[in-house]
Amino acid sequence: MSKAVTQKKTGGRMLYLLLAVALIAVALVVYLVVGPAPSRDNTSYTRYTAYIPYEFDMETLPALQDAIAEVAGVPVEVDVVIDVGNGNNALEIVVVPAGEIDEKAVVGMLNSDYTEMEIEELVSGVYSPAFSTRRAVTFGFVYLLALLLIYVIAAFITDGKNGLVVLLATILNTLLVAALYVLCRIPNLRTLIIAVAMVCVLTPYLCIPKLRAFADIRQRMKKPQASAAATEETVKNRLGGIDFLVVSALVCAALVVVGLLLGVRALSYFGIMIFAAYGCAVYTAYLVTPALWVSFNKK
Amino acid sequence: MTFKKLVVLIVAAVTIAVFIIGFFGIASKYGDITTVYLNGVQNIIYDADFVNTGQIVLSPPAATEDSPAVQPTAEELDQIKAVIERRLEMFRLSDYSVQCDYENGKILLDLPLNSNIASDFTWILSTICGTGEITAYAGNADSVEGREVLFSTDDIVKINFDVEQDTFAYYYVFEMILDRDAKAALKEATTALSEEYASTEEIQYIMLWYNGAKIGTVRISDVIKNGRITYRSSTIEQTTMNELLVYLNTGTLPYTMSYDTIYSTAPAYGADPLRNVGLALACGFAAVFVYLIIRFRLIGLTGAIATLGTMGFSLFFLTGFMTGRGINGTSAALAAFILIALLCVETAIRNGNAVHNALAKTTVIKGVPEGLKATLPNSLILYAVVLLVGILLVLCGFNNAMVGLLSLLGLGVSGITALGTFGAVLIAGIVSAALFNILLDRVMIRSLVQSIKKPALYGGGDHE
Repeated sequence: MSKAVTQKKTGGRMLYLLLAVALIAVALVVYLVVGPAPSRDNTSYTRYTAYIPYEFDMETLPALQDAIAEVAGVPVEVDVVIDVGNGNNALEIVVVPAGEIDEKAVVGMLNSDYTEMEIEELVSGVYSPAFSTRRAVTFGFVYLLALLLIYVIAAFITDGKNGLVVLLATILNTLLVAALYVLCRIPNLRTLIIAVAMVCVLTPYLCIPKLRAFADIRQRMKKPQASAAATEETVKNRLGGIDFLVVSALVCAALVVVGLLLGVRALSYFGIMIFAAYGCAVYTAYLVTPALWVSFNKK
Repeated sequence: MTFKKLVVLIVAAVTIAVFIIGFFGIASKYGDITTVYLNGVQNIIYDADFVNTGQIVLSPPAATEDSPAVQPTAEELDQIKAVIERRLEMFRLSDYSVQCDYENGKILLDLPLNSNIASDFTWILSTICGTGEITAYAGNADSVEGREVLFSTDDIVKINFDVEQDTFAYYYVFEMILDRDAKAALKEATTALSEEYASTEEIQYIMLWYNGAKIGTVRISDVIKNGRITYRSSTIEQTTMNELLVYLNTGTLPYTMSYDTIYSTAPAYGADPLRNVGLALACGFAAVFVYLIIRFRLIGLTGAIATLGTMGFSLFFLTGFMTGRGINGTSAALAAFILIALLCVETAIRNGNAVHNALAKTTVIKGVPEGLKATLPNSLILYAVVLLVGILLVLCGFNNAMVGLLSLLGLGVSGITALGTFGAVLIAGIVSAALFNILLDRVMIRSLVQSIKKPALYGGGDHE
């Protein structure tokens, strides 16, 4: 392979790295301008409650949510909760991010259109985000610990330079997953945490064989008797990125579709974030790692 | 039927049986009584996303005849929130959230209502809401009227707890390490008490009060200069002992909070989360197995069967030991379970690709073992990596030293146990993957090769 072709290939691979960095930059801008998708985890919210009779028909909940949102003029989450103390049903209206709604108008609408609810007034409270700084710091600490672990293992199996490649790939992967989380406007922080945990296992799992394959190829290239076929075989036997991506897509599509069909949004978010973790891991391992490897192993 | 075919059938049957037993468990039913011998998926103790959440509204003291209602400031609410979070960490609850309502001066506490805490729910709530004020006075009397507080909970910087045993009883031992001011006060008080002891030869005491009652005394015969005072008791009730530990480690609230309302809300994964998540995963993996079989034929089929075995074995472990643990513990365990299943599928893909490449050049008899041989080193290394990661995660997650380090840094400790849960399922999963997806998968394929020699059935070319 001529030097010019090699350089062209390396340049092409650098493009994937630049694409990833660009995506992260866009997500950062979106985050700074618009902020994360508002959820109870990261945003203050207002919560209104009122007791309602046992006979409330849960089937009417989606229509009720739309009706309340129309009167309130802002998106609301409506649910029916149970007061464990007295066994009564209570209507819960949550406004995220925190904001006031015209309580009288909402009560008026409920009393005219949903007379069976017999609501007199709404009790309100404005609550701070659920995910505290303390827990965020704990998560950050644990993540740093995981990175250290990944470097040590990768360096043990390959070498110090390649350990660094795996470490960088993992950090890039995490940022990519976080970027997709921001861009997809997913309002569920737990799914991000699970996706990051998966990234920390998947990235070394996919990157290490790739790096070992590169080391093998370089070794074979030094020996005149090593054929191109042997090199090709080494790569083929170790790679299956597309199949892996298809498989993860099938599992995640099932989670998303079943979530949508059953009206369970959390399940769909879970599916999207698992796919994001797998997709980013495959992208990083198969398209970005070669560029990183070349940069770290220049001779 | 040849012996080789019989081997394939037996291995496949055993593997599928492992999956079925792992999924459904083993239980007997006699009338209304069900005795579980081996947990199945239905026995998983779920955490926040899978069970109803209790939303508890905590309020400051209401108005009485003697005093108006307490209106906490934003700073006070933040302080209360911090103390409540520390107390919740002490209980190692599976998941929680604490939010402030600054406008109404209230706190909203979310706790998963799983079977782990259901029995202790009221006690946990009352402990969380208590002031936690423990005070010490010089002397031994039935009243503290007119006595000066020597030190109180907030003067204690560290607490060492131990249980000692002699022939007659267990002793709960609390060693309290005081801050600088309290240390000086203790030294001064014990100097006076020891002088009293020297002159009168009467034993002198420091008494500890909690919840308006005396809980015990510490004998003083010498001056305590190092600010360490040890309270030892064999008669203290276990609940009181637990409360003391919580309060001494987490500090005090300015007043007792009351819990007015407890709402129960539906799980995040729907009213029937097990069915919803199970259905989604079953559909997903069924699609994956169909894909494997279409893409790699017999290699895909044996890979799918082996993956079922790994999933079943991992479920034994998950349902038996790893449920209801730590923050999002079950979610972490389930994530590790899905991860392991997908890694097994990845092994099957790698095997399938390698066999496909080998069959392009040679026959089934030679090519299939050659392909499998080529993937073995990488599979073993990758499984070793995952095993190592799992072991280290378990060491971090279930290690008291790590919990101590986090506490020292002022970080939440319950979150770290999710790492342990994740790691433990990874270990169990990867060990079973080595058994099913490396060993038994190869046994099945090698046996098949002896009787079925068409390359197309292994996803290969034209070499007969």
